[in-house]
Amino acid sequence: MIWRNPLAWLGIATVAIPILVHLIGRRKPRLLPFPTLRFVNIAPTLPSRRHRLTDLPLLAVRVAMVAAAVAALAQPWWPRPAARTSGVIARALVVDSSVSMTRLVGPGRTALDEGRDRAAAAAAGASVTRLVEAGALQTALPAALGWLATQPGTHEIVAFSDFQRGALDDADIAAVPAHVGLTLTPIPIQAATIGSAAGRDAAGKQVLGRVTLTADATAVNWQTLGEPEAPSSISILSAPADAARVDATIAAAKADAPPPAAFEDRQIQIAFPGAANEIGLWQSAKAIDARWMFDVVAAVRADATLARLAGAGPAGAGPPTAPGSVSVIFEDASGKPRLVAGAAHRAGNVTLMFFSLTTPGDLFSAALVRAVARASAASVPAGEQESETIASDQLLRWSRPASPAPIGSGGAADSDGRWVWVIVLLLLLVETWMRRRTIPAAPATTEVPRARVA
Amino acid sequence: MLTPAVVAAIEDLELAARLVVEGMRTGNHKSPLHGFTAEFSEHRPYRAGDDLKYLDWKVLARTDRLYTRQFRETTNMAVMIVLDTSASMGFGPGGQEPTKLRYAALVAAALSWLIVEQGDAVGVMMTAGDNWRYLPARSGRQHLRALLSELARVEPAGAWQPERVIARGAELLSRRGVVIAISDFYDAEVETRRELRRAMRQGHDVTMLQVVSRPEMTFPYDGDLDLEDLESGDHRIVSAESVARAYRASMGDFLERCRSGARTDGLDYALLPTDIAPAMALRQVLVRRSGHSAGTRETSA
Repeated sequence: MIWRNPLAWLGIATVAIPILVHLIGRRKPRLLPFPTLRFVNIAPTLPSRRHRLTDLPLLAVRVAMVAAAVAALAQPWWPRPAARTSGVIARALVVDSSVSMTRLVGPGRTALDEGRDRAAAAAAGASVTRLVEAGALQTALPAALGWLATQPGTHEIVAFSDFQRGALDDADIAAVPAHVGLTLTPIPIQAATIGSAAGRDAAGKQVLGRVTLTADATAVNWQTLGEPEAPSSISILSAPADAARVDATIAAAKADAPPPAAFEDRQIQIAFPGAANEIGLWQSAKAIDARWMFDVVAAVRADATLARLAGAGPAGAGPPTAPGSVSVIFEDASGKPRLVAGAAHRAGNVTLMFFSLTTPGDLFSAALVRAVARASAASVPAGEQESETIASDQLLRWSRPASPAPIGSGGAADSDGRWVWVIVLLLLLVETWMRRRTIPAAPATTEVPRARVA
Repeated sequence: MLTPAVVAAIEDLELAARLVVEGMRTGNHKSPLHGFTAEFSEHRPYRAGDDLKYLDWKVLARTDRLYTRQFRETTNMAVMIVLDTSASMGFGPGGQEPTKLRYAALVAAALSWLIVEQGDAVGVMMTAGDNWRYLPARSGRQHLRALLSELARVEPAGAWQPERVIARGAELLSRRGVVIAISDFYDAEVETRRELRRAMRQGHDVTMLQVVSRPEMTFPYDGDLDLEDLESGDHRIVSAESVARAYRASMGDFLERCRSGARTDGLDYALLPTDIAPAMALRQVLVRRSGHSAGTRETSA
């Protein structure tokens, strides 16, 4: 048995209180008229109440009640026998779900996906596990420790993260009890892909531009498709003859690099006149019905440059077919639609469609690409844009194996001293009963009322 | 049989005494009150328990009714009941049980009823503080009513004065008779015994009826008590638990001393706890007396 708060035993001195109460307390003796005192003369009378203890059972109950209360305050704790907890491993699997973990580790696979898969694999071998996902490791570790505190056996934390610089520091590690095993598993990011744009090259092949962010420079790497298609957040659809114009448009848009796009699951397409299946695209366009689409359209509509160019440019040719429920964003000087937006549902995916009614290559189209890219970009915290990671040797130094939990740090399966308060309560009830127990009434000296019998 | 509580609840002492006597007579036991004499007095309806030898068979044959012959005693017996009305007799266990004085007065009334009914004379001697209160021994219904009325008015007060009440009561018997002292005999133990012996030397038949309540014998109290002497008013604060054992021993010694002293002096003695039905107590007294004086007394039934 362990006393978690042994200093509370100093309070044992309070058992003197009931004793003093018994010694000092003067309960007025009951007046009992009695026929004669000749038979009590030989008995010693009460010399002084201060030197006698009366009602010893009641005194004993009171002392026991105080002692039990002190014992409860001292927080006794009975750990489970070691034999019953040996071999039991409680493992908390911490997965960093911050924005930076949405970066890709491979084609179509984010770091978060990788972390979750590795966490699932790390659950093997543990007696009991819990997955803890949080946007910051500083908050994930305390949550994991809180769960481990309720579990018996050996405690472990396995963390999966890209471990951006500043994600953890020595203070965070020091807050983890020494007996808790710590394994820090970095998820390597293949490239710091922040955004991408698709288009077609001079040969008419579809190209994909990846915007990567490094510590000292931002670069856009163009990749000719035909190879496995990488996910793209913004696709540009145009007539093959306008490929050069598209290139020019993208080049113009690159001149004013958009902020990184964080939501690669938000598919956006910009269709120019002459794009493949243009009529089908128009006919499949419905009214936008997602909140993020409203946000993007609103941001595009608020782009002052785009609004100014929409009214100043040449008149468009108009929709190739009767538009559905698309929204007109800008009109030209003659009142014809210049830019409209709609939602296309294809195979379970929802795409936000922007239809430009003028051919690419002018300033309007370049401003459109830039505005859409900006509008679709998430507001990413500055810390999540950190490209540097914690050094692997540092992670190794912080990692450590689990050791047996010290006595007193067990989980709910161990027995603590809360039941001692139940004993205190029971003693209180006994004490109350003893105080109120029936005392024989003093005999009356007057005759009882007599009924008159006629 | 009437319990002490029921009898104590009856305010009319005459009625209570009659109920006690009737309760004593009914039952399977033979009545101890039958005497015999040669002088026929009167007939009365047969009661269960009457000796069949006193049944008037001739009347039964003529009228088909049961009558018992009663005889007038040739020599009237005079009985003086000395009743202790001191303050200590005002003690009672509480609840429905009577005080010792009420119980003693009831026993005295029942005895008087029996004595008068069998044609003997009965008187009562008691004190009310410093004053005498007594009725000389006489017979007759009218005298019985006066005596019962006197008993009904007694209140506990003062102290027990054996040299006055016992001696004077014995003197008031003009000839040899019976002196019945009813008291708790707590006070003036030596004087009481001396006066009772003196009455016996005067030729009287002396009986001690010691009335005590059960708590006086068992001392069932606990806690701290401020005991107040009912007669002297003295106080003594004691712890009930610490004095109970010694008290019971001392009380037991006292009762045994009274009983053995009475036997030594040739007195009749009976202990009457107030939690025993008065009729039963009275029966025991009379059975004891019947056995004690059989063959020496001539009484009529």
